[in-house]
Amino acid sequence: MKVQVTHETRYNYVPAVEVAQHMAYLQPLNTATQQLLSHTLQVEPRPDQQTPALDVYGNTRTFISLQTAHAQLRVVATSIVATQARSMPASDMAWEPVRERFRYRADGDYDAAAEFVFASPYVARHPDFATYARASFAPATSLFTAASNLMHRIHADFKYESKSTEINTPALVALAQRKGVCQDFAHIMIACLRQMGLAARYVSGYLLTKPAPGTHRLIGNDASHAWVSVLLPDLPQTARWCDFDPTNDRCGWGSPGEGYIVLATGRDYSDVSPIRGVIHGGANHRLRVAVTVTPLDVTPLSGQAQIQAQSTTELP
Amino acid sequence: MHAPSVPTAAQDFAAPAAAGHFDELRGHKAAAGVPPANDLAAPWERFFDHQASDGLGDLNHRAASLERQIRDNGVTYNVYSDAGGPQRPWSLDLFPLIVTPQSWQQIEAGVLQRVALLDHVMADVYGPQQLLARNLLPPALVHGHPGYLRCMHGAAPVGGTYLHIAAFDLARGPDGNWWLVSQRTQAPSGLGYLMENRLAVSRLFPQAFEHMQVQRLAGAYRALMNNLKAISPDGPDSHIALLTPGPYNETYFEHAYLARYLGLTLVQGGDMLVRDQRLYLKTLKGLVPIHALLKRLDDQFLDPLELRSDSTLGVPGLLQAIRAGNVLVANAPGSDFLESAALLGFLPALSRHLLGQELKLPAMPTWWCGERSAMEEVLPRLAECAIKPTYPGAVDHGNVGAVLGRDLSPRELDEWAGRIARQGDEHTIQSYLPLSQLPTWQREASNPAQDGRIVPRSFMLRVFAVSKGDQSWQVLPGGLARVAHDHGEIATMQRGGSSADVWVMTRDAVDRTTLLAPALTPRAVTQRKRLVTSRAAENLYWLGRYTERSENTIALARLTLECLNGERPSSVPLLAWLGKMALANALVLPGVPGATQARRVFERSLNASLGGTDPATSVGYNLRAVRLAGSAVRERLSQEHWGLIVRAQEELAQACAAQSRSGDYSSIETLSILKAAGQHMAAITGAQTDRMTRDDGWRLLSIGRHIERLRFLSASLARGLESGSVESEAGFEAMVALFDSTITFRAQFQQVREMAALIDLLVLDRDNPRSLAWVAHTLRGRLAKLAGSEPNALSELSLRVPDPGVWNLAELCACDEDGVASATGVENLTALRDLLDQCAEAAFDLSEAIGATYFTHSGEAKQSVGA
Repeated sequence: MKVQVTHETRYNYVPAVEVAQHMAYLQPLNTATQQLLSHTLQVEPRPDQQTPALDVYGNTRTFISLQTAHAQLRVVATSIVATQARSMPASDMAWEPVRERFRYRADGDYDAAAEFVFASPYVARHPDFATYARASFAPATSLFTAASNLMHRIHADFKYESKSTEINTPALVALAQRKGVCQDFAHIMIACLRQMGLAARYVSGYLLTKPAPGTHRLIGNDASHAWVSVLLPDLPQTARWCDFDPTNDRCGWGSPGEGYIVLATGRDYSDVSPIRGVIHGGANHRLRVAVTVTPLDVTPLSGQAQIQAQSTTELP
Repeated sequence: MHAPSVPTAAQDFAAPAAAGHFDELRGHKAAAGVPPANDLAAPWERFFDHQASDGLGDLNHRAASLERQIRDNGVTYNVYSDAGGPQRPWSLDLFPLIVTPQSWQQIEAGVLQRVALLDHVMADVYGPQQLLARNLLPPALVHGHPGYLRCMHGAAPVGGTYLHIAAFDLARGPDGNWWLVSQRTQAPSGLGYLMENRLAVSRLFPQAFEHMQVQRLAGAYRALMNNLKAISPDGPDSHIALLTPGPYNETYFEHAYLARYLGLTLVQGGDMLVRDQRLYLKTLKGLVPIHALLKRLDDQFLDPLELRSDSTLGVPGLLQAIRAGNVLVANAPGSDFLESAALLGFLPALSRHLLGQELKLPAMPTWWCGERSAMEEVLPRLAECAIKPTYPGAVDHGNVGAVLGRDLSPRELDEWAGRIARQGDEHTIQSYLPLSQLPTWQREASNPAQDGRIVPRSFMLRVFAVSKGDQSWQVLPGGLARVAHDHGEIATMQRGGSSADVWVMTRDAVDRTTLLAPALTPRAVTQRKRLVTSRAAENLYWLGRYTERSENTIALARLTLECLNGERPSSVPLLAWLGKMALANALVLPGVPGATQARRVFERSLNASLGGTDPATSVGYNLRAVRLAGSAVRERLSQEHWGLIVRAQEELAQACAAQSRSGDYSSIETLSILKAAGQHMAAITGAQTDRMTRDDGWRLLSIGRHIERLRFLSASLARGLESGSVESEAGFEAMVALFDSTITFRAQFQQVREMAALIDLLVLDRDNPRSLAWVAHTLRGRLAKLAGSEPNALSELSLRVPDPGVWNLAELCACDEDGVASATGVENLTALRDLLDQCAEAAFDLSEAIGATYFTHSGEAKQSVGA
């Protein structure tokens, strides 16, 4: 499926901001199941500097610097990507040998995915995660089955509730309150997997939320979405990650589905937050985020080419 | 009869080291029992030989002189790194640690090899990561370490070197061999303290120092600076700054000290900004580029954009500037993972792989428990080892400092073993050995007249490697010996340990070069001249204001108490004036009855509030404010100046606390406290006037003082007129006394108490530094110079000060030229009152305008945003 994503971030500042620096992760990735066809990142007012570079995980991060006073900042990312229908991975490796794989031994082998076994800023280690996860990890269960089961349980046990958490809520807090948004669901699942000694990473992206005829509606965090990628070592070397979306209880190799668009992957939200910045001045600011995902394949005659999801977030 | 030689006496005198420890004084492992006679190690024999003329009896004097030196130089170590924590004088032992040439060769070669190895490891981790791929380095110690900075991956450091300064902590075992215990690369401390130690101790033993061929230290600092200059983006003209977290940091003293010693600008994050991927310093004259930073700030705080977003200590965009190669940072950010004790166990194999060499200086055997075989091997031996956190400082990991197995009960040992088995990777076990003991001089605190004793104490030695460019390093031939408190074994300054100078002897000629850098280029000289950061400017301004305010409140408090207890009965208007003044200047709290109503209550309240403890803001409060502002610009104040500030504040605080404990607020006692404080203030203002370079920073300090004086003077006079106090004889004299002008007044006017005389002296006299005209005139001059305008041209700011040139005595006295008053009574002096109002307003306006013109950018709030 070919889709266009427009992601607009707008800040209004009172008083005007004198100097600002931002880091944006708004350019979709090229993956085995997703091709980036075109991308533009437009910043108003015109920044003094806008420098894209690859980060350590291969995501594109763009450094934006504004050195003149501005009362409003508008960042618009427009991308066209081709996504593929999901497929189910052919993986039956039990979870215990995967865990062993990441345990260091002087005579062992190195797996670069080990990086995603460790704690990260939003995903601290805690025994509570193991307590919750254990039910899904019966001995000799395949990792794929265990992870799917964990995803089902999180989907069933946790309540999706907008604004029940902040963007910087740690996984442990969300676990305790049994509710959150997609970012929290993803963090909790990652924490559970890591606590079991497995490699899991965070995926930031979008989800086409308008239901196709005859299917039920999927919940996305206002179209900006987040889910989990789990390493299945017995898959082919080039594409060993299988995606799990605990918010919608869907999984698939490459992505949980055709309507998912991958922006960036990292250890957790802190590695790939769509835009973060430091401003001088602007004591009061208002933030609006609007994401529009539009399928481009559908013939115009059917009248389906329309806004599929739109979001507005305001922070005090 | 012949007196025994000093070495023999020293030996008889000195308790032996604890059995099983190496005894530095005797040069071998101590056995149980009484040590044999004639058993002094050769260097110590030489050392004591040089004390021959004075004998051991003189050591007490030297120890006392050392303490005084440390206190007077203001060498401090902030025990807790926050505003309220105590500042403790740096603790330094009298005797140095003497390192023989043989010992030093072993240390030097081992350290040189290790720093090169660490630099290689860092280059690999931030580059190809081959060491991980080859399994030579566990991912948990890189990717799992919070100090591994992903955002720096792939960024090559300017000049190719990652580590410009590395510190190595060494222990000396019972057999006299040296072992590496830990290494510090992120922001190692000690280079300033050890220099201060050297200056203090070498001065006390000049003969021994001269004749024992002790290696000098300056060469290493010079090599470091020369290399930084050579590889910095702007070459030899590069502007290098020392980045400090600020005065609350535990080692801030040394940041200021090093900045002064090395000739660097001392900066905090808020002093800088990044534009076009370049780093700039905000100064009074605009933005000045910075090309290199000597970093004493932990990595996580460097850049709120990419690292800790709640940090206010860093500079947003700094990492981008570093990655762009526009700023050299020593050390390159991201070295924290090298500090983990867990790494030590992997270094031998890394050395074979990267250098093709065995390590020359062994590390204490260390087991990282993330590797199961290592954990299983070491768990049974926990009781004989130290348990260390693999990721120290990472709050998420819930770790604290090191724990010694032998200090734990069997139950605690079991608990630790359980914890280690569950989270092996978070724990590192290091074996432990009895630390060598060096002689220290302990004075009898109870009886200073009595002789002291030579007492052995355990120590660790911190040595430093500094880069001299092109993958080569130099070991500073000296170091910091950290000495354990009492009979303890853990030597840290946080736990109340002490330090000792380190004398490294050489067989070769002593390198006597000093730090004096090669000639600066004219461009660099011009650039560096009068560089005043906006933050320093702001603090200097407030230092000036609070200095003046302290002086004024001290004078006012003294005057008030003297009037209340004087021989002559005080008039009601005088008491009313003093009461109002006391309230306006916060000498008494609001709500306290005035001096006219309840004189004794008022007096007691004034005495009780003097220390300025919450909520009072009396003299004690002002002195604390002086000290706080001063500490923020510590590097600009002479040792003497700073010492005076500290003493003035501490002595008053102690005296007031004693008074408060006894509950006896006698005015006689308070007056003597105030007198002492007044003398300190006179010395402080002397230091400010006479001993500071008259750059723009000093100008702002002076402007601060004069604005405060303008405010106080005009308000005092206005209140004196308003209350009618100046019309009485006592009130008139009090006013003259408050402005320190009694002597002048008597000389000029003898006993005439005419308003005209008063106005002439306190308002119009251009020769009296406490007259309004003098203050206004001086302010105008300073402001004009500050703005950098042509001589005699007045800047916009200076025009805000009323022009004393147009003031006229007759008009102010409301009389004609012959002195015939048009009306009588102070209530008719409207021109004077208007002038006083104008002056008070000008003081307020100016302060605001100066803030807006010169300080705005340093006070600006930064915040993080995200979506």
